[in-house]
Amino acid sequence: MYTSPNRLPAPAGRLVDHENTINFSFEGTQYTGLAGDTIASALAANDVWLLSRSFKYHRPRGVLSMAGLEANTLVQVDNEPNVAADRRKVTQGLQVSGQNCIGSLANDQAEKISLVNRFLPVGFYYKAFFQPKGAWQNIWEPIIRKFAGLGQVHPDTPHGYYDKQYLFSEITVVGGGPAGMSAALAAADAGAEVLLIEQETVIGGSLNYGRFDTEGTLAHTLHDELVTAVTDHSNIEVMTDSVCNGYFADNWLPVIRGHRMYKLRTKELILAPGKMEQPAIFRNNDLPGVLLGTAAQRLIRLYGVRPGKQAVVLTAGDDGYATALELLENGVNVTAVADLRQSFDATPLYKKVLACGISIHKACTVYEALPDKHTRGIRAAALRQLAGIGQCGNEAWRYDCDLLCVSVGFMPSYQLALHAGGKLKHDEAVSGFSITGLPACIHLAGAVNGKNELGSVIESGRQAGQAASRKLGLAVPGAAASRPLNPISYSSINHPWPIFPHPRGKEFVDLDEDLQYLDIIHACRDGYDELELVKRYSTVGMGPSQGRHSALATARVVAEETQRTMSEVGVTTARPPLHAENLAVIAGRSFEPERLTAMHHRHLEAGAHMVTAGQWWRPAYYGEPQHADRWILKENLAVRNNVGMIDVSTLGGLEVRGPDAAEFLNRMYTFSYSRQKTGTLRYLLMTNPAGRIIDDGVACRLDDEHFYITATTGGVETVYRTMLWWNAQWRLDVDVTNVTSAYAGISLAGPKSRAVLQQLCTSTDLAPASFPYLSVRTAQVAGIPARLLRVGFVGELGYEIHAPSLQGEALWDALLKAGREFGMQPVGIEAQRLLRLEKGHLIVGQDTDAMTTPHEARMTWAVAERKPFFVGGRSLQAARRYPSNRKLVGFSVEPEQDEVPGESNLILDGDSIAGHITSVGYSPTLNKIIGMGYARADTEPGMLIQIKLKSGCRQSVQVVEMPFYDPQNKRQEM
Amino acid sequence: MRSPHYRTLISAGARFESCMNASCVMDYGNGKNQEAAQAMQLGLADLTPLPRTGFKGPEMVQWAGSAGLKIGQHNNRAYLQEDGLLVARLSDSEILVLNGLGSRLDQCARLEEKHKHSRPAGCYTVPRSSASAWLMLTGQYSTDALAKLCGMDLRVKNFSGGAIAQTSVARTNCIVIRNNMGEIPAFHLLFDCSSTEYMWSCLVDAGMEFKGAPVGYASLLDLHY
Repeated sequence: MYTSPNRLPAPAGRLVDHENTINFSFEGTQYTGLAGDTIASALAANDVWLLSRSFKYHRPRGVLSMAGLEANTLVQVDNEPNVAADRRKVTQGLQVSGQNCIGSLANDQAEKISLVNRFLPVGFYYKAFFQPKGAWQNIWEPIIRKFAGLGQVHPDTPHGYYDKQYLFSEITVVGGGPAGMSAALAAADAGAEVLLIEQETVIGGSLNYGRFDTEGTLAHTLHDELVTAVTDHSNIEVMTDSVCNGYFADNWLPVIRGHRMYKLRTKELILAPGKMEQPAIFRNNDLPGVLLGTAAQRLIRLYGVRPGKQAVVLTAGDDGYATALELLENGVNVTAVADLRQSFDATPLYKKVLACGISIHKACTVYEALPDKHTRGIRAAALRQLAGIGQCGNEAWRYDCDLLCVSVGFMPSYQLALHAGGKLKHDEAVSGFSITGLPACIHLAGAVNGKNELGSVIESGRQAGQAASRKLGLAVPGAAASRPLNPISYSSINHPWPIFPHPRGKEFVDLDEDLQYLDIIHACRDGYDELELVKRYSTVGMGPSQGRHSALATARVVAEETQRTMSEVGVTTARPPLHAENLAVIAGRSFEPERLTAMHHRHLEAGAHMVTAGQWWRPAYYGEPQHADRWILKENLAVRNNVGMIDVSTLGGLEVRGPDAAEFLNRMYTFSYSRQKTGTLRYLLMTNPAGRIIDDGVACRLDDEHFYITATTGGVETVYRTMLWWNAQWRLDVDVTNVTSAYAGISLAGPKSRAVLQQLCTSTDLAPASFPYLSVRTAQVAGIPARLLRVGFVGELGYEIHAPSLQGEALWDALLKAGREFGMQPVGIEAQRLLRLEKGHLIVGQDTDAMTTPHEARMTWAVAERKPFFVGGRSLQAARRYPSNRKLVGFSVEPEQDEVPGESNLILDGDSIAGHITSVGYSPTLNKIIGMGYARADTEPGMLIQIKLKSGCRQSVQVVEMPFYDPQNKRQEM
Repeated sequence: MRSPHYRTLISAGARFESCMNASCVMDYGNGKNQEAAQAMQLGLADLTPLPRTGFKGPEMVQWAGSAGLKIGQHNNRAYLQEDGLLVARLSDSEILVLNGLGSRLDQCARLEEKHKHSRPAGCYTVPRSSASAWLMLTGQYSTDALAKLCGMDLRVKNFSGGAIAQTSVARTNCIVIRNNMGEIPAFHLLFDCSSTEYMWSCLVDAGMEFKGAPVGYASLLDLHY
């Protein structure tokens, strides 16, 4: 039979299954809880209240809100740090431990640090660590790093599966309490598609646990009525256990449930997140046993846990009396109620508490909670008569207790509204807040809209639901007669000053950061009198709870200290995320597109070392990486002496068709294409409007009105976009189609390439006279329709074969087979880069940068200056008047060097930088290290240029003519 | 002719058959009923070997009409022809044509032949067969699976039969066409064929929680007719 010291029988414990027990451990001790328990509630049922140690002073901490709002309940669960114990459900065998302690949680050796707390004033980081010189790096940083953080991240934590999903809704309601449910029902009744998001495991909000009347039945009745209506409504989808963690532009909401982030788009948004109960500030207000009134009620009604044995209640309104009654009815001996108010109407709740014989002290506060050294909780509450605002008189009482419930006020859960651009406005008369300035598509309902009485909360929800529906153009039924309720009434939602400094301190304003009342005062006195500055200087509100329990008190203290009103002081900015979110949720299942050529698996089978080029995978060389140089050399020599085949499918391909095709290319590229003959190729060089090189390729004229052009792998999308952009203005009769993926491309290069190709291309005459250099033919290669381009990028006789991509692998196989007798081998892009370097051909993006002009790159031969127009032409004309101070030059170095030049090494002009090396490599054909780079514009072959090597040494190298290899172009034109 | 990712299909148990000069996955050896049930739950079919084509240019609509295609006036709508061809109007000047499921004729080749002979000015072919991969996602969970990859609301309420989205799926440009098979939700997905392996893996991953699996062409024919 399951028993535990504080477990209450049903019907207490709406969320737990009294018949189903769960075993788990905390700090190495085995405990039994119930299915549905959180870690905190299960421990509380076992009379374990100490959950953690505070960040700075290692003070004992326990449950405060039972709503996952503060750092007090953060624990380590298996490999996962910083888990909110008051939100995470216990599961069978769960291993939980405390965090941020040296030794055990109960006997934390680091607790002694609180003895020196007066030497650690606010801002001491800034005052202490900047001196003496070097002390930060050598002394302070290692110490602070050791103490920093709470839980532990284990590098061997197994990977979990996290992902994302898009979600859509016409109306989204955030918050499944009475206002949210009422709003959802109103919108759904109007015909809207409604998504209701609730962070708890069930909807109902405060109706699940709150007490609103003397009999304690109103919440139950309303709960059943509203929850049934919502769950039965076909237009409402309910997402429980889901946190809407922020608001972004255009009603984009990240909603986190479990391991998934939903990316929600909604047309209208209703915010009904409710309100957050606020602590009072008195000495030892942080100890386990000091609970918010709502936390005590949550423990009782949600989890069936008695929150203590003997209680004192501090209140400033009816909420405290409701809490007192709830405690009494569940076996807690309530010995006293301290009410901060001097006078107030005798409400039914007050009268009932009085009738129960409980001592009620008006104009009285808790001055101090007295710690219990054995339990680490509290043993008594010291009460004082109030002598003025925040001032305690001499009349005092002491009540033994292990539970001190605080019900002194609420803040609206304003964060999401502020993410959306809302402003929080303070009303000094009622010490309450309102939110203004929201976009028209966002509606507020319930407490966040300043409504606190239950009837008005529900009505506020209904109005918000109807307003949102109207915005969607839906017909809204007439107003239903609101039912009179008799719940708690509020003359004011907040007591204006529940702050009681103590001569010996320890009255905490921010529990996350261990900031006391005097810390805030001292921050102001240090000159940081603006709230945002106080925040940054003191770190108030920067802990896991993000100011939920400290923002209001801090604003009050700053207002008081700087003699301003709360309205003038304001509150600090709220930014997403609303709750701390697991990084895995953000990192999980992102998409990294990959593109494979048709021959990709053939490369793998041939042992290629693959590298990425943008989204593409390309073979760098064929062989193991540890011998890369050997493979590159071998492939280089195969092309120079024999024949090689290179996968060039990633090259961009564009069809340019129409009567104005030639004129279009004339305008887009620097060269001239009007007179280009059908069946020929011509080089393409593209500049941007500033005259800078942005791409190159070749234009194949297939007929008068049809060009097939190539572009660089990385540049084709930009080229295509640019073409469409320009022709939207020019309106030339031309069509441009991006066919990059439609064609697989194989470059066959080397003196034996013709012989290889001829075997598969029997119906086309490949002889030089019939198919000369820089011409294009359509042909059948191994029965596959193809375009043959005679090009010479690597400086040898060569053909590019472009064929439908779905037949690319078959083409590769056929060529490989045909080339076998010629010793042909596949060649990767590293060898290709070296081959073209020997030939002095530049690669756009490697040998050019964003500022390179054709003149600097020695490409003026590709610029038809007499054309009336091309993109960038006018800029190039203007640039001629201001000659560049750099140009691309070639250099060579003997290979026997201790250190050889590398790419990106600087080329110097005295002590100034003239440029850098863009390409460099060892040429087996020339037995030299050759390279290109930018040097002074007046550099000529034969001169020496200075290179700053990686080691920092300088090396003089000789500038040489380019191309390095076959300057007469005999080999590529053979 | 076969799909770029035929190795993946083979490892999933694909059984190929020749279909209009291409090698098409007919089934995955799971039995007719089981595969049909899979397609109704969540099935992913590779239709890349099947014919498809495209035409574009300022005179495209006029030529398409003369070629016997019946195309409505709305862009981003797919129009089913009497012979089973599905003509997707992508813009005022471009259509994508998918061979009819179940057709034993290469209807697209016929259209291309017509185009070749008439040589209309201002209307050009688009080599969709070699440029775009063609997958089909079917079943009651197809919308949910796509919602993990695509930022558009593809629920039937807002994306009814024949609707087209030219959008991003798993960060890859994709044409999504809703082409329900009776009551069974179904989507054609056309995208750059170099991304086939990547897209296939993303769709398989997205479908795992719904117990999705590859299905063959035969199961689609069973459900289509």
